[in-house]
Amino acid sequence: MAGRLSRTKIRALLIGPAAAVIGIFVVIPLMLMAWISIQGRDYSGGVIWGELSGEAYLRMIFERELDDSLAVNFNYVLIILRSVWLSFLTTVISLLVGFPTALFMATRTPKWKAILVFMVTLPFWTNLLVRNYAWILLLRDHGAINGTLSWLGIISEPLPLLHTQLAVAIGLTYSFLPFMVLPIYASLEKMDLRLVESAFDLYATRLMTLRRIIIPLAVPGIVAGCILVFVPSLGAYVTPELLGGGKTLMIGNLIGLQFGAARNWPFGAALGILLLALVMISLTFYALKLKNTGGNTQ
Amino acid sequence: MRDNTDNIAISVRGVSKIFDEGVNAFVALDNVSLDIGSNEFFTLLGPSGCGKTTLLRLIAGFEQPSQGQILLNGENLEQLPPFKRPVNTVFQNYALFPHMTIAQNIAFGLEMLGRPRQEINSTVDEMLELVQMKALADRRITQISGGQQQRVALARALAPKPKVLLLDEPLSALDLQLRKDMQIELKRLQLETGITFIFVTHDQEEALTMSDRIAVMQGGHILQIGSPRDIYEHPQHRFVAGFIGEINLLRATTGKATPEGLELRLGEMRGLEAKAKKQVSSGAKLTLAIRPERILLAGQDKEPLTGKLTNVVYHGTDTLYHFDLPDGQAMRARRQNSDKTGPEWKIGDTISWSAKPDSIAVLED
Ligand SMILES: Nc1ncnc2c1ncn2[C@@H]1O[C@H](COP(=O)(O)OP(=O)(O)O)[C@@H](O)[C@H]1O
Ligand SMILES: [Mg+2]
Repeated sequence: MAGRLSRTKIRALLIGPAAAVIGIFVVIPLMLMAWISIQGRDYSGGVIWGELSGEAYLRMIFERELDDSLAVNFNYVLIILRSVWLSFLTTVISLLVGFPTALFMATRTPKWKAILVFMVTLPFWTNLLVRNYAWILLLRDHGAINGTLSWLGIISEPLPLLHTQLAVAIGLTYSFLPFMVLPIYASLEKMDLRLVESAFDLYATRLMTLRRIIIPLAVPGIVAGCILVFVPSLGAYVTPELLGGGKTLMIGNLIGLQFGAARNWPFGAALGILLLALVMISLTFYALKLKNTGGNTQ
Repeated sequence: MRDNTDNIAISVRGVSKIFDEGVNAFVALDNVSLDIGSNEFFTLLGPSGCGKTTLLRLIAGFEQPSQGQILLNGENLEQLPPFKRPVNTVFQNYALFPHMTIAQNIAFGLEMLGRPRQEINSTVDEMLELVQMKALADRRITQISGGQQQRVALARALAPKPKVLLLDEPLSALDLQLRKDMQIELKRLQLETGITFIFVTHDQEEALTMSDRIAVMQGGHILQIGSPRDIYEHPQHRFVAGFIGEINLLRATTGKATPEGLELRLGEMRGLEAKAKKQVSSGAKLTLAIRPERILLAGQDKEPLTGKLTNVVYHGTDTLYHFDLPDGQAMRARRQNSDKTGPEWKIGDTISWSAKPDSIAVLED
């Protein structure tokens, strides 16, 4: 009897810290954000606590005219769509670059595998801000790329590279590529290479083996990689801020703006909720995808 | 080597395989030559690491020979990648595709060959029938037992109707009873399909019961090729003799030539004769091999040779008698328990024995 009781206590004590961490760092802030998003706006920043208002959500699509009537305003929708589009683009580029990289890594000798995995994680050792600044030096009008091209005489005017959607996509790909490579590598690495030989034995060409055997078996890694790139890209702040300039705002920047210069906390919080919803949707897609493949991943 | 060159499916000619050229060079196969007839059930038998898998991989095209050639129906395979060779493999671990059903696994080879859908379906049905897996066609590979996986691997490799089927220790993962059943099954499939089987095993019993011919390998060499009876009755090497079945290896010296062949002496003891193929000078030392069941045992003074019983082990169908020769060499003889009581020899008794000349093999070392 006493033993049972103390076991329950021990369980509570063991679960306690984890529950506290999740509560303090995840649940409470989320509730706060959801609450703030439906509060009245205090024009000097912050909110009017207790004054319920759906204004923040209306503001995503509508604009209030001077006479208090609503007019459709697609500016924010545009930013949201652009965020989704740029994240999608980033995911696709990362996949196209990351899959062959992972396949190459997974087919090396154990010693080379260790070295290559280390090299893929190397960018994490430097600050994200610094890494994005490095791209400014490469992409700007008189930067490394334009400089080289004009020195070679290929162009006379610098190409507009910096402050474009392409620059943002490149920056995001660069930032999140390891999140694509590593899960795909993990699923390819544990794949039995004899299955590849088996496919060759059964008259499959290299391309067919890739299509029918290697890619299907790497699906869990591919899906995980896509989620891991898409989700942080959607909320990216630093990269579009530095490489996108004012013209290519993403949701992250918009949210930052609401809590800063625009002093519209409810709207910022509402956008945060929207971002969360978008992430949830893509995660649901992931779960469904896993279910479809029957979780059959060895 | 076989006489009839028209019926040779696979011809391995002077093939060597050296892994990791340079400092770490390792010779896995050393100048191996053999011809395998079409419709033959040919077995590569040898201990682990002797190069059996390597030879199969060379035939399948996963590795290239460092030296020599491999011919299929007289055509050099050198330039053909594995996916163009009409040769299929049943892998040691089966290597079935885990993301496909049984039927999809079997259909894979046919799809890659671009066969029409209708033909694929009917061949898959036929194969499922052949390996008695029809009821499980739509199961996933992960949902069936090891023995069933083994059958699927067979069906998958047989479906494209290859000229040659390579089987790399396909039964080694199965438990004893299943293994026995599959041995019979495999033999049946080979007879039914008429496909050349090249079967790899380290189990001598399996090799003896299933094969038309056996090649015994050791350390990258082929020591002897012959029918199971040949290999068992007339081993030419000490290794072959010792690896296959139970055998007495005895040091002997040669006496004079006799009408039958050659007189042999075990220490001072005379009375053993062998059919000598080669001319051996009198007084030469050599090794003979005699199967325990070929030794005729009798009571004292009935046969020309003697021995002292050191142990008697009852095995049901037969009894194993351990005895020492006068020169100290230990021997074993097996005697069928064909009547209820059997002889009443006890440990310490002196017995007599003999062996017919054609039961004695004179070995090369
Ligand atoms: N890819 C390889 N690289 C180096 N050595 C190898 C390789 N494949 C096999 N070997 C060596 O060649 C020898 C024969 O191997 P294998 O043909 O697999 O033997 P078996 O199938 O008879 O057990 C072994 O000693 C093995 O270590
Ligand atoms: Mg092997």
